Amino acid sequence: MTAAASPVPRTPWGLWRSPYLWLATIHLLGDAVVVLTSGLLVLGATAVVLAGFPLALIGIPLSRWANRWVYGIAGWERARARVTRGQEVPALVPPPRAGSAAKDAALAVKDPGLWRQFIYYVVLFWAAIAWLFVVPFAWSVPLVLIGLPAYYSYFAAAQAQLGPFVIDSTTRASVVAVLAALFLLFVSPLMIRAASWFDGWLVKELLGPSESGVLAERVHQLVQSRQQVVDSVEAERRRMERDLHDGAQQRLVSLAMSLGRAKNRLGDKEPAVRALIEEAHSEAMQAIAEIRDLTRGLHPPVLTDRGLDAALSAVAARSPVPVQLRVDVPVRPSLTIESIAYFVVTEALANVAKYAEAAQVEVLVIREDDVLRVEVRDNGRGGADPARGSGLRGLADRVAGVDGQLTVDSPPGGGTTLIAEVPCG
Amino acid sequence: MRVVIAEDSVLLREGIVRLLEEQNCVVVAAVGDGNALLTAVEEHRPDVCVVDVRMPPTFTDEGLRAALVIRDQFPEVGVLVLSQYVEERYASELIGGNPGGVGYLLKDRVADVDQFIDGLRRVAGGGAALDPEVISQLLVRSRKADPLAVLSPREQDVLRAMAEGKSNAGIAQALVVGEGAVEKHISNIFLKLQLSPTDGEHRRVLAVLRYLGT
Repeated sequence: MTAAASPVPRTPWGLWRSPYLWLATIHLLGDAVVVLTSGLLVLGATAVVLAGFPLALIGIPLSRWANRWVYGIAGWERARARVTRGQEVPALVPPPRAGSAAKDAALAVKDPGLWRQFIYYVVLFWAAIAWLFVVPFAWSVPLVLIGLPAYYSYFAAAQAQLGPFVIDSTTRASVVAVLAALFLLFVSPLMIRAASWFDGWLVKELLGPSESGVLAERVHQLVQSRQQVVDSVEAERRRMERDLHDGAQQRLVSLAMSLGRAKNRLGDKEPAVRALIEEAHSEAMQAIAEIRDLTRGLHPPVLTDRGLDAALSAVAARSPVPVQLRVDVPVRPSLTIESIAYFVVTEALANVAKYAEAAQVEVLVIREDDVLRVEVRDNGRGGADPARGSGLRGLADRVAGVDGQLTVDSPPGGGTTLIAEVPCG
Repeated sequence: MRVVIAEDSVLLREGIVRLLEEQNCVVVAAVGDGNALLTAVEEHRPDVCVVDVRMPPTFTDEGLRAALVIRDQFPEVGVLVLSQYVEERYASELIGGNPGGVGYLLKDRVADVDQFIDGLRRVAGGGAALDPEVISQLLVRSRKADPLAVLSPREQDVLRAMAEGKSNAGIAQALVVGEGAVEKHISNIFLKLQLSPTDGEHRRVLAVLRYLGT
């Protein structure tokens, strides 16, 4: 999730040669300032979110505004991490607009992002206090100790106490100085590195999207891209229907018309030629009928113009098995959803005609809030199995393409009930 | 017979114009969209206009809507709608409560010159010309209420042919029976649908309306 601009050197030697060490030091010291500025702002904004929430008219817009404010501040903190550590943390996404101010405010209060950012500043407060000890310990203390031998050479009677040890001679001072120098060379960079790592970890864990957040975002993207694919396929069906209608079909009708005229002009002369023309004429008519059936299966124009009820009543009329149709869809869903519901019914009726040996089919299409429910029941011989029939599988696939569900209940001898439920919000 | 044609495909439009001219019709205007159609009808007051359902700019039911306007504003002008598909919904809207002076045919029928001209003449004369496919779709719609259950299958055949706009002679030819038999069936239909003789020739229309369930 975190992509550093350049890898952090692992060895003390490498750290000494990289600007990372100094930038990290500055960053750690900066934490204290941040806690006193941004931290207090976030604390205040969070308080506003909480306090504003119950205050109805004024509070509700305020909660939302304060919530956004927290995200803004966290943005600065991410920017600081990028500048000093080259740490790239993807931004948290504030809760989306829910529509009403009250819902927005409720989202602002329940927003996990707000609370993670709040916790970040609380933890950073203690971390910043720790850095106020760690950073001087890493840099100033060894530097001071290195100066001890010089101190002794100027003040012979001087003495210093380091914990339980009393340093009262140049020799001892030199030993301490060497140890301090070694500490400075090898340990201090590692201390800064560790502190900086912890600091970066806080930013990553609390100011970046959580793992579930990343997954949720990914799922959201996938759902959207799938929706685009499904929509584009449906648009393609409509386009093909129109192309066939405006192109090939018109030409064939025109051709058939010319042949019809030729036939009429010829009258009773040349019976052999007339027979040929008649043959060509009926072939052309056949071709027109075939294209018509093909395009109607793709996407019938009446579906776009008049919706499911009109399109399905035409389908019901063509069914060889008597169909009882009820369509109760007060608000039209998207063209894609309509097209899929239409497909479910036509496929189901085609199956009934082919295999079910039914005497009666009942087709029910109802919209209940955001779900379009398509039911096709027949009183045939049952035994339909989606695992075997490619038609049923194709249906299930197309329904699944829009997050719908297809259930088939088909006990042998007991008729078949096919139910498709498609979300159409 | 003076005709206005509205069809956006130039190929087809020219074809229909030539076809009609061969049949001694006068094509007073041939246009490509709904608005032009309305203007042409207003200007020329033809006996009948031939209208494609899908036309620019929307390419949905432009022609049908123009046809409805003509039916409403120029009731003396016959309207024959041609469509790639015949859909019961469009037919119901088009017929409304009055199946006179209206036709709704599959485009294929244009190629069947005699059938097309026959339908066109019927519509121009204030009659009806409905595609057998529309009839069967309308039949399914009205099957629910089923005021026709009282009719025998043969009588239903006769009524169906009547709904297509056929004359007694045409029905006799289509069903391969004598004209006398057709007349007998028709009077039975009137009887069973309780249409009294005082309604006169109008009974035919009433029977068809009952049949269409509109």
